[in-house]
Amino acid sequence: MAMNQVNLEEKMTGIPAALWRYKYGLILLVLFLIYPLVTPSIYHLSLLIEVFIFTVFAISYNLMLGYTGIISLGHALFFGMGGYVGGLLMVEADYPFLLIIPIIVLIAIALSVIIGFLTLRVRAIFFAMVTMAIATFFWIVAQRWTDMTGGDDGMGGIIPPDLLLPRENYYYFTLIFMVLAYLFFIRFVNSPTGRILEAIRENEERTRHLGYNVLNFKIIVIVIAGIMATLSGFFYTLSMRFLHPSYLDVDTTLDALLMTVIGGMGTITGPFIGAVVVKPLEHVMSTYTEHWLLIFGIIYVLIVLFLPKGLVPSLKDQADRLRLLGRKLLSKN
Amino acid sequence: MSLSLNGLSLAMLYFLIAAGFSLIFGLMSVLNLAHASFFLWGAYSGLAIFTTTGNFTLAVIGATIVGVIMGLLVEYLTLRPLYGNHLFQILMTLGLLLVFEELVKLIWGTTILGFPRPEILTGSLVILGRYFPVYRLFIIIAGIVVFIAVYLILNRTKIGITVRAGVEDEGMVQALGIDIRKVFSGVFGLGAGLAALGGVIGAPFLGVYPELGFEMLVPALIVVIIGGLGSFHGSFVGAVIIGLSQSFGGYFIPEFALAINVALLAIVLLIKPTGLFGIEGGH
Repeated sequence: MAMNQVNLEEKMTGIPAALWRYKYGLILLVLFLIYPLVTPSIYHLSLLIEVFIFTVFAISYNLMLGYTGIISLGHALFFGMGGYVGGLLMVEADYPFLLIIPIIVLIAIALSVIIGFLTLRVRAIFFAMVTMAIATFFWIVAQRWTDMTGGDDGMGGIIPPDLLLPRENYYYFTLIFMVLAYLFFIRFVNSPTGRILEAIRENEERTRHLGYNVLNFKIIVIVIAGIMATLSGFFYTLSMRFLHPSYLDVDTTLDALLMTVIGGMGTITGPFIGAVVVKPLEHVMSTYTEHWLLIFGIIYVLIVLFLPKGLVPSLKDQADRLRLLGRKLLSKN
Repeated sequence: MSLSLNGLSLAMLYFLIAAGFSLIFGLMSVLNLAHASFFLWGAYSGLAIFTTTGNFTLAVIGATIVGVIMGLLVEYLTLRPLYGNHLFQILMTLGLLLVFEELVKLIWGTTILGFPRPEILTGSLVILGRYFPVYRLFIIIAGIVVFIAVYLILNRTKIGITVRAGVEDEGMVQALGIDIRKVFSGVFGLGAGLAALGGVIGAPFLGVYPELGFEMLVPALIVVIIGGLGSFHGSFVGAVIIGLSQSFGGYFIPEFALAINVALLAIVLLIKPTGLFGIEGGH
């Protein structure tokens, strides 16, 4: 069976090969496409919408942490910025949906270039510290500027455009959003630029000496990650139809981090697996105990300590080892 | 005048967190986000001791000891296996920050608790016809005493020389036959103790609530970047700058005290990216 698979893969080239390589992804995509036709449960659709959006958010984090080795402690900054700027433009200024998207994308680019230029020039660690400081700053502004943001009570009335108003439509919209993000993600990490990013992660000094401008490549990554996170934040706000300062707080950054770490840093499947594991688990656990964050924190610490490759890749390693062991035993007999 | 007194007392609390934070980074390249948890736990354990014994001195000593023990445990159990892997150390300390905050919520709940000021330290002193709240003077004096004491230890004792040598060149210290790991643990414990001390003496002034740690972490980050990562006196100067700017800025535009600090941070990063007393190069 295993031999057949190898032969099959070798024979195929071009599009069929690409399709075969992502067969599980495609099967999943078909399932997601027909899912709303099977069960019209609004709750489950909403949960999946959340999974799709957070997958993109996790992809953006994985691009920085997993593929380039840049750590951000304030990625919620972009998520919340997309939500707040987009939501406020919609409610207060009546801007159309299609105009808001380029505006928040431009802000995301400007913000990441400024932060990147200020911090990455000196020490990578400054990026982590400064993103945390700025995210906290925006978080406090969102809490205290109550006239504009509603403060801790949040702000409702952020209604998606008519076309996206039905839950099913919004579901398909976010599914497309995730698929596009994934296509870009796969393309990008396999491009020459993606390879250089991995080189930076593995050995920044050597990459610099090979003549690459490391700073420029890092800024490219944080700009892309910033755009993706900003769009996820805006679409999340539209899905909730509600704005809250918690979009900007450190728990949101931890969400992305947790998904990246659980799904496996620097892997293609990682962000989706992370989002699929974390989001439903959060929903379930938060109905049982108010201390679910503590449990999550402990799981997270244990993964970092004992399974640094990520939860799912480590489990896969174990499974592979068992399979090998099984095969050995069989061949002996 | 009362503003600058307020600012200086805040500055001392920032200094107590930032000093250990900065030294730990300078020595072991660990960005210990969980450092703010030591401050938080200092405040809570100090309050617990104070409410059971009614003795403020005991509370201060006890909280500091709790901080030292926590620091040693964190270093030994969670960071030692990860030395050499800076990325995972940051991920780890961020997780610990969350766990310690959630543990506080589990044990003491989420409401803001008051920490009564000990009687000797209530009221005001009248100096040259002006009133000075005694408790703020106490915090400022305590901060300065700690600064001088640690400064002397770092500069006048053999241990201090070893620590400073470790910041400069860890490999050379080891080559000279000193077990750098013991130095790491010692500095970690000391730094954690200082942060916990800040927590307990800051508690009557700030109140005691679970988000306190995180709220102190962000100014502390700004302080160490402005002062220069790894520099002890840099963290003192940075803390005074941030404490005063926060206090004055907060007086004129209360909502945006942090905005002034973020702006200060941006200016320092633009003009002197290594901070005021930072060492060139590094990680």
